[in-house]
Amino acid sequence: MIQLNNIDKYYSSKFTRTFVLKGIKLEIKSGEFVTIMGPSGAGKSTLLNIIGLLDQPSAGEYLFMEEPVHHFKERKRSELHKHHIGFVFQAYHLIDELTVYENIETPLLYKGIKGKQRKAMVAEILDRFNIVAKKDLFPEQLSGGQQQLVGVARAIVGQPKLLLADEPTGNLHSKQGQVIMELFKELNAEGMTIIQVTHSDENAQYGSRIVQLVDGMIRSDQAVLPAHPKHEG
Amino acid sequence: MKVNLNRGLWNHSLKIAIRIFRQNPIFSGINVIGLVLGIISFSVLLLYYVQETSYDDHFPNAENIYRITINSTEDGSYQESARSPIPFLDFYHEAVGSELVLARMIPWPGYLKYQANQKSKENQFVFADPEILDIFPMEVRQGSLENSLQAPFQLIITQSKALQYFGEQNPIGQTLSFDEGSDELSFTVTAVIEDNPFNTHLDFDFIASIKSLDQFAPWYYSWFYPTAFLYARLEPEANLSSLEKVAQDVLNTNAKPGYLDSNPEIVFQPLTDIHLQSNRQGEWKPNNTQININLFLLLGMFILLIAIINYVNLTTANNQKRMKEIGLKKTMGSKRDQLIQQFFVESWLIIAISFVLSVLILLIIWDPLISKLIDGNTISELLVNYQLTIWVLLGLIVTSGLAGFYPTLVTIKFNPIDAIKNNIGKYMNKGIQRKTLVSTQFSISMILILITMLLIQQYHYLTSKNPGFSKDYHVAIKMADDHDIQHVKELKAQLSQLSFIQNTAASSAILGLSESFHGFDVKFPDRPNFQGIEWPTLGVDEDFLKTFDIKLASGRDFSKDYITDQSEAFIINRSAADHLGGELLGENIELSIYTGKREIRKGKIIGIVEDFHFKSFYQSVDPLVIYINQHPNFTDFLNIKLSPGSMADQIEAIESVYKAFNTDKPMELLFINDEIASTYQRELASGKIMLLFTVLSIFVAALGAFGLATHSFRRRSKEMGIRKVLGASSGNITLEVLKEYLIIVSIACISAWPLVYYLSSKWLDNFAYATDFGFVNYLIGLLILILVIVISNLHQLIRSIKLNPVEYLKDE
Repeated sequence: MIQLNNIDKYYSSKFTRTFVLKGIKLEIKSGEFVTIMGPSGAGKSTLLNIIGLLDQPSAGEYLFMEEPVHHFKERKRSELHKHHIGFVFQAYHLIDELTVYENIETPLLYKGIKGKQRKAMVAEILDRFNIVAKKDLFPEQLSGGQQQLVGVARAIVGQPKLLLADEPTGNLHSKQGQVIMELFKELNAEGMTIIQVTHSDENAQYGSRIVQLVDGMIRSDQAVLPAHPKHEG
Repeated sequence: MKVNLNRGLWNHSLKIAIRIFRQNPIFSGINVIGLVLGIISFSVLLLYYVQETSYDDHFPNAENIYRITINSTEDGSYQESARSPIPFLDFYHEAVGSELVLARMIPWPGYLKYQANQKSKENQFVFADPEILDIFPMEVRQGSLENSLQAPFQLIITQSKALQYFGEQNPIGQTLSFDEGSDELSFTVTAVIEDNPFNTHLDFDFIASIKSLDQFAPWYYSWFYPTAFLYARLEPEANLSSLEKVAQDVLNTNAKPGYLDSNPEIVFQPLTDIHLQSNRQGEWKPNNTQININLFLLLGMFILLIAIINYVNLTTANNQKRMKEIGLKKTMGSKRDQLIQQFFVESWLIIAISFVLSVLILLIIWDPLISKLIDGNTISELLVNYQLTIWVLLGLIVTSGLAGFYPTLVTIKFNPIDAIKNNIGKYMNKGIQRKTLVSTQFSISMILILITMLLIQQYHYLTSKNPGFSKDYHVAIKMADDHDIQHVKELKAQLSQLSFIQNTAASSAILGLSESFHGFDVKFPDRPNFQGIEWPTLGVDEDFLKTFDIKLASGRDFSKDYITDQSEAFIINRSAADHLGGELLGENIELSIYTGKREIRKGKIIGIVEDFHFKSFYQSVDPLVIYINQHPNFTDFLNIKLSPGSMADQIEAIESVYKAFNTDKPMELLFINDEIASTYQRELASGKIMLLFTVLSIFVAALGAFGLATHSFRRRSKEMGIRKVLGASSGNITLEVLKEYLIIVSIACISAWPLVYYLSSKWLDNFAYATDFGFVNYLIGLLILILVIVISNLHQLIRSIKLNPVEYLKDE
């Protein structure tokens, strides 16, 4: 699904280049649940943004669903992005002026999904996440965990093939975090490809593969051992 | 409020204020430009208002001076004349004697000999009673006013005319020749006076003694023609109403019987009301109206208001960025009044800079631009009136002082904890006050846009509406003297030789120029019910209808083939026919023409023409009687129909023909189109001023919208980032940005449209023929407003569309 060949990302100032990512080679297959880990400043978020088509690599090739997106124009990239990718953020990034319902509905509006179907899709998600009662509240009236739940709901309501999550539990306490991770696991089981960035080893265990990033380069890339499962349920 | 006058603190405040100013060049610039434009517009329009209300009040005892005028009604046609019959003064003087000073001024345009063989037309030549100098004291530059109008052929001239005729020579005792037909009259200059100030309704360059008329035109002493401006200065304790009553009695008992047929009614007009309230027949010059100047004053206040709203909005928005500073200062023990002082200094720094700039700009542009625009005085004349200057300054200082308060009060309300956390959302998102203020701005802009459109459209309508006669290639030579009048047929013949001249026709009046039409009594002997109606008349020659392509509805045109047409044929217009009803062709008609004596012409109606607008579109078409005129009294113009092509060349050729024809006088040529347009000069002038200041006000509002868009971008950039991540396209983002204006624009429409609808239908009622100011115009106004909003948001719109969400969504 995702193929990165020698991806570089750097910032040029007058005489020097500061590399954020260097020579990244990475292949992620459909249905995987990949965790990207590494110390602060290792380039995790940048990598995630490039994969999510929010940012462009300075050099290298990026094939998304077999298509060479590094050649694509802005408009086409944003079409791909809109239809196939969902984003979850550490700081939730809900729109303050919109209710829970409206926040979840927004990506569907941008996808051009018509009224009735849109309503049905939002209702289904609200139901699934058990937040029907909260649909008319504004973000500031929700706890952090609830806000992130809405964030995830908003990210997947359009049924993307790929879900990207940047420290999705970073602002949550552990109990709330677990709920989100269980949700991810469930979505992955249903076939959604997930890539998350996290500092937490515990969260990494929910995934199937861990990519270690240090100073913009991949240090290791291993499968999560099934022999070492976390307590489930 | 007690403000701590600590010198150190003041310096600190000022220092921060200057830094803030430098850090935000865009905000500060917009603020200053907006305020400067607001202050300048307001000052100009306020001074215009003051100028227009100051007319004639510089005369001593102005409040006791009146102009005596006549309202008359004859057979349903009502007329308000600015002038009175000449003999009235003497009877009235006899009756009331000591209670008032009376004087007449009789306009008498003519030709003055200029150097050796040149003559120049002087339209502002009047004959007056010597008492005029008591009523309107004049500043003498040379000579003396003592006995300056007592004897025949004495003449007072203005400074600028003295310069024109005598140059550096001393004019006192010199003579000027006045051309009066076969005579040349010699006037001796007794005094040179200052030119009339612009703010008087009087308009003369020469005052000659009235006794001169006894010598060369004794017929002037008539109840009918000519007429005089009659002024009276009352004693302060005099009783106006009893004087009016006496005047009416004097008129009723002494006037010639024929004169009383028009049921004349005396009206005393206060001198200082004339410029704004009088719109009578035969005024010195066109007057203004109170509504007009009120409208302009309102316009000025609107622009200042828009600028102040900008200032308040931008300043409060900008101060929100500085909540951290405020919070820190509060926690460090800054007292409320110290903070207030800080923000006052900042607010007033901008106001002070704008203020000084405005005054400087006004001083520079006043004489070359503004004094011409508002047809008013020069800056030095204004500054002499120091009281006015002080009032304007004081008004502006108070207004801007108040404007400085509001942002300060809003700013210091911030809670220090929110402030330190920079939790500005709480104060920003509500923004209801700001939206209200912006809605007000756009409502005002909408009103101004629509009113300007209305003025321009109506002017265009009036000047381009088909008047029922052709006018685009028509000029008229004004008959300069008896020679011209007597030999008009020769001139016609000579002009006909020019290949480009299609037709020529003599006439007693200029089409489109209401005042040039003489009203005479018409009788229809076959219809006893319609005895003695006064109708406008038009004396012409046989070529007139052809020259102006006026269409006949029935009957026939005048023809040289019928010799009797010259005295017995009449053509009336459809309006006259409708007035009478029935089949009119061939009916008997009698017209009393006044040609030094009353002359009754009897004849038949030979034709009826379609109505054409021989007067302005203010009025519907009056009945009109057209006859063949050969009397010199009414041979005033020779109309010429030219060919399409170079007007300049054709006119040059005409001029050379005329030069050979009349070796004595310069040619006076009227362009029919211009004469018609000049009727609507007030609409044009108002339209121009409105347009200029409307554009300015929209520009100021757009500046504000630009500033707020910048602010709004700062507030919403993160939201836009999120939306982009969620898949928003450029179109979605654009809509999202402009959505903020939906309510604002709706409010603007809802509040402005009904008001404009009311005002426009009221104003258009003044015209018998009004443009259709329909819904489409309102939509165009809306479109203009939307365009202004889009343009002022363009920069931020592009920023929002191009924004890279990654930069705005960093999790910290």
